[in-house]
This record gives sequence, structure tokens and C-alpha cells, in this order.
Amino acid sequence: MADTTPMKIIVDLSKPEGERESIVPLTKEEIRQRELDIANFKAEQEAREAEEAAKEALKVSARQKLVAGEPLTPEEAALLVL
Amino acid sequence: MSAMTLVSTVTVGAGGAANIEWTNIPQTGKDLLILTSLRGTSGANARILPNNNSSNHTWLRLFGTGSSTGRSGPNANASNLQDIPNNPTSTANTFSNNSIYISNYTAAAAKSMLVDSVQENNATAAFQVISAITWNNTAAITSLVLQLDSNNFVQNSSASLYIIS
Amino acid sequence: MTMAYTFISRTTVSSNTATVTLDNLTQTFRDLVIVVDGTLSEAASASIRFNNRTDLQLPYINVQTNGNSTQIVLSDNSSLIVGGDLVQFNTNRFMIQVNIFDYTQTDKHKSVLSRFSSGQNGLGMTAGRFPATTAVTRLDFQSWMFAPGTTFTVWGVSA
Repeated sequence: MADTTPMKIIVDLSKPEGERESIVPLTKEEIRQRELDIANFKAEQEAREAEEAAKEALKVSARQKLVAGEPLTPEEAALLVL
Repeated sequence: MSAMTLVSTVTVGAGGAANIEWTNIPQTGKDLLILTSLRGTSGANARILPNNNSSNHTWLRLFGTGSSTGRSGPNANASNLQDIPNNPTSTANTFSNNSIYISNYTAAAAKSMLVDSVQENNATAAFQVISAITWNNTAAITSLVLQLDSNNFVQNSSASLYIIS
Repeated sequence: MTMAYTFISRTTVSSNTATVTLDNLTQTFRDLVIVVDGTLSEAASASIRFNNRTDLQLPYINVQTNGNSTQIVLSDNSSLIVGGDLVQFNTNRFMIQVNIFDYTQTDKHKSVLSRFSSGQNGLGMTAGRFPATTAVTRLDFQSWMFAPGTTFTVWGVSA
């Protein structure tokens, strides 16, 4: 089975040219941190997308109400009035 | 006096690489410039981490997708290079072109970074991005990690580090 | 290999300063690159005046976002505006990169491209033109006010 451990390339600039580059596997802690960061970012992104979707839904509702001559909620009015 | 000095170019080999890192960066310059050509094996999100530190990053970006425009942020997480590398669904053998400028990298002050990026694709979908990143840390930058959020940069991805004096 | 990017000068502000003037710019290069890195003492935008001219209107287009909204401004002014109503630089660290093309040429107007970054406060870009065929010999960076430690670095780019 192929080794799928993620690798990293390290360039140590204190060394002379030709001796700087090494390729080593990520440590377990580094892999764990990456996975945690990805999970946190996804959660943040989902929350942001939900907020955008909610705003869009409010806009649609506000436009429909304007056309129908119905009163807007304060949240709908805040989105439409600049 | 040479003002823009190439310090190192890394080209990813056949096995791919999750990270490209520069350590012991000489402290003799003023700014850093990283020019990259990137493609990932999954997704198109990456990060640039001074001193391998994923804390105290805030960022904001303007982007075009090829069919729409948008902005995202301000965000306070370390995934600060969104839609920067070419993703695996883009045309074969295409890579994104990116520039990351870090100002005053040795100063005892927060660090500003400016990112300019364009993906390549023989189709409508290709991101063009400009990003502003602040790393709110007063340590001098002595190392940099360029990392894909998941999986690897593919073979022939490359990154060049310049010191600007 | 001849390096095309040559360091010209670096100025560091030592006290709150409203204007930083780069005068008698060397005329031996083709393009100029200026990077401003620092903070302001309070929230404001920034601008660049060319050759101390107040009689010319510099046309520019400016795109910026502060994270909540995005603004495009198409206008002209006696100074090139960097940042603006939406994105104001302040006590948070910011960076402005300015590229002035053909600054020594006397047969054309001068194109200017600028990017600015202020972390989570905002970012944007400005494209503008100094509408004069005279060479650029002086630049005045203006704001309210550049705080101590702010640096102005100039590089010349050879043709």
C-alpha cells in the first residue's frame, strides 16, 4: 500500500546553496493541527454562507413585498435602504 | 546594491508536497516577495504562515470567479490564501500565478502582506484575487511555511523567495 | 546578471507627520516603485501629489472593500487618492505599493498603479494617471498623520 504521509520541503537558508533543501514527513502534531484548522475554517465558512443566504432570502422577500405594496420588516428595510 | 535578490526557488518533485518551508531567512533585507506557480491535488485553498504561526491572522479579499465578483472577510483564521492554487479540476498542466509581498519582515511590528493571484483554466471558472493579510505579531519573520489546506501541491509547483533591500 | 531593481532611498517617520516629500527624484530609471509601510495616528485616507502640482486633475479609478461592502470610485483630484471613504488607514498596520511607470519620460502622461492593504480594515487598488508630459521629480505622500515608524522606501526600475 502506498505511503500517503504528507511531506514537506524545508529550505534552510543558513546552509550553502546545494545543501539547503530537505524533504521530510509532517509530524503527527502538524497533521492534527491542519485537520483542526480545516474543520474550524469549514465551520466559519458555513456560518458565513448561512448568513449570506439569510440576507438574500430577506432581500427577495423585501422585493416581493414592495411590489405587492405590503409593509417591510425593519430587517428587510435595512437591507434595501442605503 | 542589488535590491531584489533571489534567495531560493523550490520546485515540487514527483511525490508532491504538503508544505514548502523556508527557514533561517536572512534578516538583512526589508521586504520579502514570494512568487509562486501552484496547483493542488485537492481544493484550492492554502496558507502562508510566518514563523509557522497560525495565530493572529486577519485577512480580507476581493475576487472575480470568471462569472461573478465578490469579497470575503474580514476573517480571523490562518487559511489566508483562499482560491490561490489551481485546483485539480482546472485544465491539465495549468498552474496559478501568485505574488505575496511581505513588508518590513524584520520589524518589531505587525506584518502586512499583499497577495495578487490569478488561476489559469481553459474555461470560465478561474479566480482572480487580491488579498490583504495582517499577521498581528511583532516577531521578525525568520521562516515561512506555504501550505495547502489539504493534500499536496503537485509536481512542478514552484515558489521563489526574494529578499528586497 | 544585472539587477533591474535598485534601492534609492528609505525614509522613516520619527513623529506624527502629515506629509512626506520625496524631492529631487533621481532621473536615471524608467519606473519607480514606492512601498509605504506603517500606521496612522488616526483613521484617514492617503493621497499622493505629483511635482507639487495643484493645478492638474489626476483621473483615477479606485476599487476598495472594507469587508462589509465594496466601492468603486471613478473620479479625479489634484492628488491621487489611495484608500478613501470606505477603507481608511488607522492605527492598524497598512501597506501601500505604488508603481509609477515611465516617470522620467517627457513624451507621455504617467500611469500609476497602486495596491493597498490594511489587514481586516480593507484593501483595494487604484489606477490613475498624472496627466503631464513633464518628468516626475517630486512626490508628496499626504495623510492625517503618518505615525512614528512608518517607512517610505523607493526603488528604481531600469528599462
